[in-house]
Amino acid sequence: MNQSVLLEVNDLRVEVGRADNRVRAIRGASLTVQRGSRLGVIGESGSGKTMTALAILRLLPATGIITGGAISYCGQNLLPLSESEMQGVRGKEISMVFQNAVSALNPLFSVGQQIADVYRYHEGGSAERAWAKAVAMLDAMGIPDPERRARAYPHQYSGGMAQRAMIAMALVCSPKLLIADEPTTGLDLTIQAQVLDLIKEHVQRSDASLLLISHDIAVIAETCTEVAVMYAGEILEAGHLENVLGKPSSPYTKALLECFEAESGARLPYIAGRVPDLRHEMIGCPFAPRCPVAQAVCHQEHPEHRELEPKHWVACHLA
Amino acid sequence: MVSWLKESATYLVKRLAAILLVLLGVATITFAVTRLLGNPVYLLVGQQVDKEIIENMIHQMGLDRPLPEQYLRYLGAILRGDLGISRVTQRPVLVEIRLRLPATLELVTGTMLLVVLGGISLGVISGARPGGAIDQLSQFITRLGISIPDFWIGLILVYVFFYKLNWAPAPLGRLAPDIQPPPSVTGLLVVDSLLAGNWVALWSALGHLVPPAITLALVASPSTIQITRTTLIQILSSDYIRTARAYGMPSRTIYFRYALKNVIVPVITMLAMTFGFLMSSTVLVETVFAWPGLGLYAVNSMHQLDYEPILGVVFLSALFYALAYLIADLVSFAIDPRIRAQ
Amino acid sequence: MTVGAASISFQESIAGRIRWLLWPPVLILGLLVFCAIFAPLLAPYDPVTPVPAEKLLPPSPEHWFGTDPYGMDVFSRVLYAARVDVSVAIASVLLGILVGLPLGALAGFVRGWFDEGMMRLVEVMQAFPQILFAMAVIAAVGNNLANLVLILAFLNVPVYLKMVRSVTLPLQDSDFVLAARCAGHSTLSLVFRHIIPNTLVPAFSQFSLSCAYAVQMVAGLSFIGLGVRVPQPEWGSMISLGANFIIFGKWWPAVFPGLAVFLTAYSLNALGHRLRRAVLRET
Repeated sequence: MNQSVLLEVNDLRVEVGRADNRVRAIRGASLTVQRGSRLGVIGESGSGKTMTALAILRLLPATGIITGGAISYCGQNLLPLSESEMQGVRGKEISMVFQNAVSALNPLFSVGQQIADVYRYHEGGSAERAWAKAVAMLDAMGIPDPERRARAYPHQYSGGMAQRAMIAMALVCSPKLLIADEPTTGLDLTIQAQVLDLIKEHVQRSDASLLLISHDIAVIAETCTEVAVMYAGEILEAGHLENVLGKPSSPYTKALLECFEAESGARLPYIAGRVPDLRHEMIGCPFAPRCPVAQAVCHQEHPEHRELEPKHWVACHLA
Repeated sequence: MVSWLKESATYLVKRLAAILLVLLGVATITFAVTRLLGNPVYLLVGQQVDKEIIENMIHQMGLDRPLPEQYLRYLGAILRGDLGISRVTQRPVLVEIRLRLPATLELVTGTMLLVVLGGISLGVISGARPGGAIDQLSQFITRLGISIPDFWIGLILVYVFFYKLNWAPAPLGRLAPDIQPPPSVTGLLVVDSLLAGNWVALWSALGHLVPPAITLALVASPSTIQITRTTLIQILSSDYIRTARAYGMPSRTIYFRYALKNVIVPVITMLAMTFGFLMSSTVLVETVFAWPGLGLYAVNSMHQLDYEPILGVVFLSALFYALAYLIADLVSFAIDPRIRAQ
Repeated sequence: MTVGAASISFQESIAGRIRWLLWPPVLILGLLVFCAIFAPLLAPYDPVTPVPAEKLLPPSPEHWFGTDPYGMDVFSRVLYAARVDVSVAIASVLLGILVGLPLGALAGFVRGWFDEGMMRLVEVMQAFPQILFAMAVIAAVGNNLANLVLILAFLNVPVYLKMVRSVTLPLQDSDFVLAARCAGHSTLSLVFRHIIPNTLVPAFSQFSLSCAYAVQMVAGLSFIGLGVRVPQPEWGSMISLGANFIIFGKWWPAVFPGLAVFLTAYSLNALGHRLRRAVLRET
């Protein structure tokens, strides 16, 4: 196994939902996170980005199961691990930061206590040591007056500060991979920039890797070194940031970028059509119904991965 | 530390003020009912034939004074603990009530024990496994409990467990008539028997307590079961529990350290409301089981046209209700920092 | 494939209606209303004439529910009693709605000291022990059916006041209110012509639940002797009559009337919960 690969997701398939309403949320998604790199996953809502992150940590909802594929971390396949073994991974090897941090923290416990709990569970030691570590982490995240803030409760935090606290919790056990799911959605623009800088700085400093999920290309362009484009439960294109954004090959990527590059005064571009119904099996390329340059083969055969250049592949018949 | 004390004191004072206002409202309405509706003379003085005696009593009771003055005297009396005189026994209502309060208290305590142990367990298991067998049982008990008249199910229990199976004693009060009651320490027969080591009395007291307690528990537990179940479901699917899971916390930590604290506030509030509700709603069950508590006292007084005791019991029940709410509020205040923030 | 708006066929909608009518709670309530209305035709015996020779006979083909301590046929009395219990329950809830709904709409719309006052009043009313208060009032004003209806209505007012108020609060800032004001409507007219119609549906879903509770209250109060004179058939007083004989094994005079109360309350509750879920889905 390639030593520089930290996390590899291979042809992942996930189904969610009750018996009469089963959705194939992820249908053969593949992505790779290198050591020390920062991968951004971009896609519309419903494309399966969050589900992929949850699948990595085995946190799927009760009605969800992984029906195929492999997820390996540091060369080890995560799927056969038992629940208690996964508990050792979560928060210690791989941490996740969620959208809307204030509601992601327990309102009846102080913020410091929740961070200390995570530290104490994974690293052991005394309650005092865990508390000191929690305060230190809050300080490292740039939260002023960390001693007092640690004793405060989530409802006393602003959105941006709560997100910093979440990141503190995520990094307290020095994980090798940080997954951030829409960490800046809902925050003011200035706060967004601060939070992204914070994430980038700490990930770089501890030589960890980042998996950043967003629907906003600007967020990813700011923070990441690599990008994967997700659509209808599959990754359609992936590679180095400059390559994918500078020389997009998949028609979907091109259309997506056009949406973000609207010139002021011009009409807003959009992608015609609707995201496909994920309850059904699909034949051919998932984007074909909306693709402006789709051919007959696009509707009939599922496109294979084609390598365009090192570290840049696309799933398209026309590449 | 000091600010915490100041916060708590302010909150306590505000809640006490609110309760006093409610009690004032209750006193006012009962006053209005007696003095304004119906014939107060007839109610309070009773059916006397002799006009002179009636006039005497009217004067004695102050019923010939102007209404506002009567109101103030009424409030003053209540504050002193003077709930009037029982026309039948000529003793202060407060004394009569004090005699019968322990019986109702024991019944309600026994019922609450069943509600807490049975109701919360059912609610927790139902909330943790919605749709499962225990949840179906909870839903069944809930549907039954909200539709079944307590006095009817009490009678059915008497029929099945006393008449048919002979497991329960005859529904004639708190103790079999031929057993010597233990010396009164708390007024609760079960506790007093235990303290005195009187196993015969203990067994009899328990046997008499269980059927009416089960009856009341059946109609009182649906609200507790439902609130526990619903709250637990909400908590287990909340963002913050998802976070705890995402950080590797094992199930026992999630349930017993986090979810437990989150579930306590609504559940304790409901338990307090249930206690308050029960203290005033034992009337029918006490009648069925001849349980010598406040409810039976009110019914008997009503039949004997002795009016003051009924008002006294009404007021006392409202007081218990208000106190129960106060305790629930204080518990919420202590546990939930968001309430403290207000 | 698109999922169109509900476009079920005519046959399917008829089948839906029939399935709804065959739902046990609806069936029971239908049966109840039928029995109440046609009691004189359905009852095999006279419900108020005592027959000492036939007292406390167990259930048999001649007396389906047996006879009570006065020798009267329990089945006939249960049928006739349906009229009293059901009409008292419905009347008291309707009266409560009649008073509580407008007050709640006004309070929620006008706010200010009127609203504050109403909320304090509701708090006080809900602190009252219901059965005891009913006992106290009826003993004070006179033991008859009309007063029973009035006191039960009084106990229903806070429920509807609060509910309607909470439905009204968000409506204050809605567009149609603004439009109506611009058109020159006075506050009172606004409340009655525009706000109240919006509160009827949620109130309706609560109606069945209130009736379930009212039926149990009526039976309970008459069990201790309030509201009904002895020979008049009423479920609660029938249970009271039969209660003394349960310990002797004569279960039928008390059990059958109670069963009627239970089934009625059960069906009303089931219906009410169904309606409330349907209303919540719409909003």
